[in-house]
This record gives sequence, C-alpha cells and structure tokens, in this order.
Amino acid sequence: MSLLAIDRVKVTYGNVVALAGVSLAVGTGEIVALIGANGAGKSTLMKAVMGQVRLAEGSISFDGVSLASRRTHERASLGIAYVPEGRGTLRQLSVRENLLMGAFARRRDPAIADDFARVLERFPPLAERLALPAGTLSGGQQQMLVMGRALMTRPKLLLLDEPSLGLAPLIAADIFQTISSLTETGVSVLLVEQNAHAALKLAKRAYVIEMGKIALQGPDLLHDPRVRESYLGEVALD
Amino acid sequence: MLLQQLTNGLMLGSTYALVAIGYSLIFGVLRLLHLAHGEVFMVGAFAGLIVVLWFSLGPFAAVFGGLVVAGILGIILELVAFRPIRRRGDNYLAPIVSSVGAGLVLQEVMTKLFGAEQQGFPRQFAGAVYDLGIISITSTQIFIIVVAFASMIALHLFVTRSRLGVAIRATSENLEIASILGINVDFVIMLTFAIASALGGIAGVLVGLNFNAVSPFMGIDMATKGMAIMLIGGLGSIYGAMAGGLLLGVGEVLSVAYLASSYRDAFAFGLMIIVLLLRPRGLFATGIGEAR
Ligand SMILES: Nc1ncnc2c1ncn2[C@@H]1O[C@H](COP(=O)(O)OP(=O)(O)O)[C@@H](O)[C@H]1O
Ligand SMILES: [Mg+2]
Repeated sequence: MSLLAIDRVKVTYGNVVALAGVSLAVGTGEIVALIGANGAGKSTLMKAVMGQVRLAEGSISFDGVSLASRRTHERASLGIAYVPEGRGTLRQLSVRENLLMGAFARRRDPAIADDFARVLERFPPLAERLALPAGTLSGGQQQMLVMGRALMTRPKLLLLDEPSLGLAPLIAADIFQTISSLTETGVSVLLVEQNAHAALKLAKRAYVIEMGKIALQGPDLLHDPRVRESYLGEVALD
Repeated sequence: MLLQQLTNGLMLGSTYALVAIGYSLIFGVLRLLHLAHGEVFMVGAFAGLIVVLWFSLGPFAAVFGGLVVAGILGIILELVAFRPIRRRGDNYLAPIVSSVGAGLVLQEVMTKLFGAEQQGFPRQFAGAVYDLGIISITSTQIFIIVVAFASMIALHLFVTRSRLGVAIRATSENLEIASILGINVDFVIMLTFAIASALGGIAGVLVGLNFNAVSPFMGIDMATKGMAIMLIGGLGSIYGAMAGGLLLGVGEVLSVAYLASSYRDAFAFGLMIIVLLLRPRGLFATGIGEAR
C-alpha cells in the first residue's frame, strides 16, 4: 500500500482548472519526482495534499487514512512535512525558534533534543547562527533551515517544492545530496523540480505533469526520449 | 520636578502600553483592528471594582479579577464577532462592523447594570504617600507601575521562551507556514485574544485605580490612544507597543506640565503623525501589513 495516494484529484481556481484528475502515489521510503513546466500544476498538487486548496473532485489518503476532513495542521501532525515554493522561513523568528517550531506538533517529546542536534550536524552553518533572525540568512542557508525544520517534525513524508530554485549550482547540489541521504532514515519524498535532470537522477520513479494532467510516469524517465526533448533540453537522437 | 513628571509619565505610559500590546497582538495574528478592545479594557476595570466593592478584596485580587473576566470576554468576542466571519473568507469590513457592534453592546450592558456615572474605589485605595525628597509617590502608584511592568515582562518571557508563545509569533508572521508546521492557528488566535484581553483587563483596573474612576465609557479614549500607539510602535509589534506606550505616557505628562493641559489628547495624535512622517512603518517595523 502506498504511503501517499492521490486519486483523480481535480482543483480549480475560479475558471482555471489547475489539476484535471491527477493520480499519483508515493511508497514508503521512496523518492518520487514530479516535473513539469511552469504553471503545470505542481505546486497546486502539494497544496492539495496539505489541504490548502479544496478538492473539486477526487481524494487523497495518507498512511491509509483519508485526508478529506483533516485540516492543514492535522495533516502535519499525521507526518507530512511540507517545504513550500519560496522556502517559507519565519524571518523574524530565530534559527533556533524556526527549528523548534518544526517540532511543534510533537509537544514535549524528549527525542526533540536529539533531532535538533542531528539537524545541526547535517547543516553546520545553522549551528553557528542559532540566535540570528532567519531573515538574515543567505538563500542556501534558508533552504537548509526549512529542510532542517521539516526534519524536526520527524515526517513520514516530505513534500519539497522546488528546493533548488534560486540557489547557486554548488549549493543546489548540496541540497540534492541531502535529499538523497534522507531516504536512509526511511522518510519518503515527493520532489517537485524545475531542474528535471537532477530530480530524475535522484528519484526512483517520476511523473511528468502537463496542464494539470499526468502525461508520463515511470521508473526511468531520464532516458525517455519525450522527456529528454521537452524537459532536459536535448534532442532525442535515436 | 522633571523626575516627578517622568515617574507619572511612566506610570500612565505603562497602562497605555498594556492596552496597545493587545491591539498589536491581535493585529499580528488577524491583520485586523479589534474595535471592541477598549470595551474589554472597560469591563476589566469594572470586574476589578466589583471584586473590591462586593467582595472587599484588595488591589491584587482586583487585578486578578480584571485579568480573568477580560480574558474570558476576549475569547467570547473572538468566537462571536471574529471567527464566524473569518470562516466565510476575506472580508475586511465585516469584522470591523461586528467588533464595533460588540463594543457598543458592552457599553450599553454595563450602563444598564452599573449606570453611566463614574464610580470610584474606596478611599483607602488611594494609598499612603511616600515623600522621597525628589519625588513623592503613593503606594497605589507603585502598585500600578510594578503590576504593569511585571505583566510586560511576563508577556516577553512567554512569547520568547514558551512553545505556545513562539507559536503566536510564528502565526503572527505567517499563518499558512504556521499551520504547515502543525500549529492549530484557530487555537492560537483564540489564545492571542485571551492574552491580549487579559492585559487589557489588567490595564483597566490599573487605570481605574490611577484616576479613581471607572465608567462604561472609559474605553473610548483608551481605544483611540491604544491604536495610535500601535501605529507609533509599528503594526503588530509587541515591543513597539511597549515603547510607544511609555513614550506617549511620558510625553503626555510633560506636555500637560510644560504646555497646557488642553493639548493632552492632541499630543497622542501629534506624536503619531510625527513618528509616521519620520518612520512610516513605526518605531519597530515588523514588515507586517506589507506582504503575506
Ligand atoms: N492562487 C491562484 N489563483 C488563481 N490561479 C492560480 C493560483 N495558483 C495557481 N494558479 C494557476 O493554476 C495553474 C497551476 O499553478 P501551479 O500549481 O502554481 O503550477 P506550477 O507549480 O507547476 O508552476 C496555473 O495556471 C496558475 O496560473
Ligand atoms: Mg510551483
């Protein structure tokens, strides 16, 4: 059974149909990539999973539980951590406070302190800046912070919306490295990326979304001629 | 003489600050003015007075009564005047109208119950006068200053040290991000109303003691000042409200002492206009109100 099961989901913004019956699944411990052009509906799909947009049709279940009646904070408590597009650091809170708010739903779980230490080990630049307002961090550090904050929730599923957006290539590579190492901890990842090449290399399976519909899906899209042509900027030679 | 004025100003200003903090806290989480907050302050003052007159208890009990009654009233107002409208989506006018309406209802109810006349605390509440040479101060004035500053320190510790307090700041900065993190923002908003209103209730009792006057209309002036202070301090900034309140209190007392008492109320708005001309986002700009 899939950890996350999205079934024929339709979402509209007024007259705009952002998702026109999307089905997608993420298994336990799996990294799944979702690629597609700007405006294809990738972010909307993540918002649908978090309950930030209403479903016109379809259903989403997580860990065998229907999410239909769950509000956003309840979905977070169930084990879904979401790093939205444009990061979403709380700029006026300190780095430490941002990380601790990641563990908000865990209340006074004694393991929070261990996880805090582990996040700082994983992202050393954060350890040096714990008392600073998050708004003073560089783009790469802010991405580390939101990833670290998401890990503080001890999620079963991590939703990452364009984590490499606006980052220098080296720093982006660092972030991808972190994502791939996450699966060792058993967490599942749904990764939305404009950088299709990096995402497809990282993920075991991928989906291609076009104008609100899944156009392609499979385990080896990196070598699919249609993907190479449309998303990797290459002309298929064979 | 100046030191005496400063002391009086700090005392007055600390009560202004307590009221203004309430506007800031609520503006922070809702981006709305709570236009019945002046009446919460007034009801708190009555609660303190009742504790004293009916139960013959002392000033600490009066403050506690004001805090509890106002806090509960704040929660009720959130549930009745704000939450139902919030559920129906974006509408900036409706909560303004509903909170003004709630404020008027509170004024009328209190007038019906206690009359429109000012009422005072028993004579012994004026307190003993201590002449310290350079300044003279009454025990009641000391009480007011201590309670007001202790309340502000407690709030500071709460919003920086406690999990729920930091959650209030998180919600205040970005409601969507807060809910992603597992924070029940509806609960946080209710908690914020409770705290803001409790501080308003404390201020009501302190102001009632200071001027020895409690009336159903005492919230009207305080409300306009509280909102002016929030603008001076910076929209949604707790520390801006503290600084702005103290500044206004001291300024007001000095203006009465050295200019003319008729300028007293004009002073608040003069100060607000000057600060906003020099620093359009207030003393402690938060970035709230620009993007969300
Ligand atoms: N808040 C919104 N209001 C109206 N239309 C929106 C809104 N958000 C997204 N859309 C539209 O929905 C479609 C999908 O957007 P989005 O999910 O953000 O795409 P992506 O993340 O793949 O770039 C686009 O046509 C976009 O213009
Ligand atoms: Mg997007």
